[in-house]
Amino acid sequence: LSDPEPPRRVKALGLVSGGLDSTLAAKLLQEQGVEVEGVHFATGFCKIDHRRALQRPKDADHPERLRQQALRAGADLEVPVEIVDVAEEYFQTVVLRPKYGYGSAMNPCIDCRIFMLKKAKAYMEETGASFIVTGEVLGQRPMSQRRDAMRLIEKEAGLEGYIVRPLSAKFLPATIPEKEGCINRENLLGIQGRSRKPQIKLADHYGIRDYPCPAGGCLLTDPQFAKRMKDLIEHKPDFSLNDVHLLKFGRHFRLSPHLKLVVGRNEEDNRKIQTFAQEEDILLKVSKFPGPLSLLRGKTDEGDIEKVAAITAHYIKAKGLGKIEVTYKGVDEDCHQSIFVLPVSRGEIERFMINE
Amino acid sequence: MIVPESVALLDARGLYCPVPILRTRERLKRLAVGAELVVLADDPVILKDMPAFCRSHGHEYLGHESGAGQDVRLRVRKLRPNLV
Repeated sequence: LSDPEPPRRVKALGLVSGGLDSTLAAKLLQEQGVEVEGVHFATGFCKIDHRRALQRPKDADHPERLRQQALRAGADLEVPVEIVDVAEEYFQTVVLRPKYGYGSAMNPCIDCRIFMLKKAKAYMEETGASFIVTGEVLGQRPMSQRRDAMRLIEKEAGLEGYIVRPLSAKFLPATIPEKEGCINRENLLGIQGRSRKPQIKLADHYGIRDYPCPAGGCLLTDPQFAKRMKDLIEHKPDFSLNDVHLLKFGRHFRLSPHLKLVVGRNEEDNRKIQTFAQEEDILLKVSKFPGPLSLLRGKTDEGDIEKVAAITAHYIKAKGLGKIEVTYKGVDEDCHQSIFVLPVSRGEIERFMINE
Repeated sequence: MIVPESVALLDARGLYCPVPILRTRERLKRLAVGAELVVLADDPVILKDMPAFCRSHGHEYLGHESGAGQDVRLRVRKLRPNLV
């Protein structure tokens, strides 16, 4: 390869998820002398953020598992990464009303990309960057990383020709910075498909370690979470963000169109359930035995308390004890009431559980 | 934990990362280049995130010491002028 003319110093804005691909994409441009700055949009649906919020004792000894990956990427690249909290707007516009629909779960991937790129465009103009760089790989994701989807996303974001995807550039039309000679197409790559081998090799080459697993990232792609979310939308059109947060913890049961139950799976779930409990919710707990905290939300009919107490009692470790005492109270009430129930069977659990 | 008066202090205890980092960034913006900031935090992950933030944003991470319980006291020196 002959050395081309040295390109003039330009600035690019990198869309940094914190994963390996976006780190490598930025790195490839840095290698060409492009100044890269990063931006990361926090949507509230990141699995690592979620896990950090849980504060599991077993994670305490491994803070590297919970580190902010966009900052990790920024450190590896030695470039500033701006972290922008977009949770509220993202939820209202992308999650609830995706123009291009959902993928196999509740994942509005195309709208998500458009949303982030529009935000990035505004930030790019503010910081004086001349184009955007992303870690997208052609054919890696079934929804948003197809050729036609990429074109659509680019157009909708108003960034036609201004998105450089260094990992797959050889398979894509030349972008404006390439045509203008700001970057050299020859040194960009031709990776496509779902295999991660080329990226892992490249990471090794650049000495980038400690990066997270791919696509571990988004709760909206999680089938279990999606099922709960769909149940919520179907039964409670006027739901709140608190309702959505609650979907991230515990086991969920649909008792009636107006009533649902959340049962903690462990101490961390119980703590979170307590945190998100609101007035009018009812909290239940087995007395005398260790067991979960349950939260009942909605309109109760006769027999409902008994039913959910029996579901709660199902989850104590000891079996065959006959009737179990379960105490319950409204969130703002001081006094417990109590009820004796036989734990429900496995079959009953499955009947009511919102599950995949 | 005694903090000399000339050093800026940010108490980020009770907040989970990356919120303490975002607060750190905002606080640093109001300091002069060369100034030192002490951050008090109790989310252990900050020991990973703060050095990464400093490297990424071009500031100097001066290390940490442990306090009572989960409390840590981290020191950062602002080296790079504000960007935007």
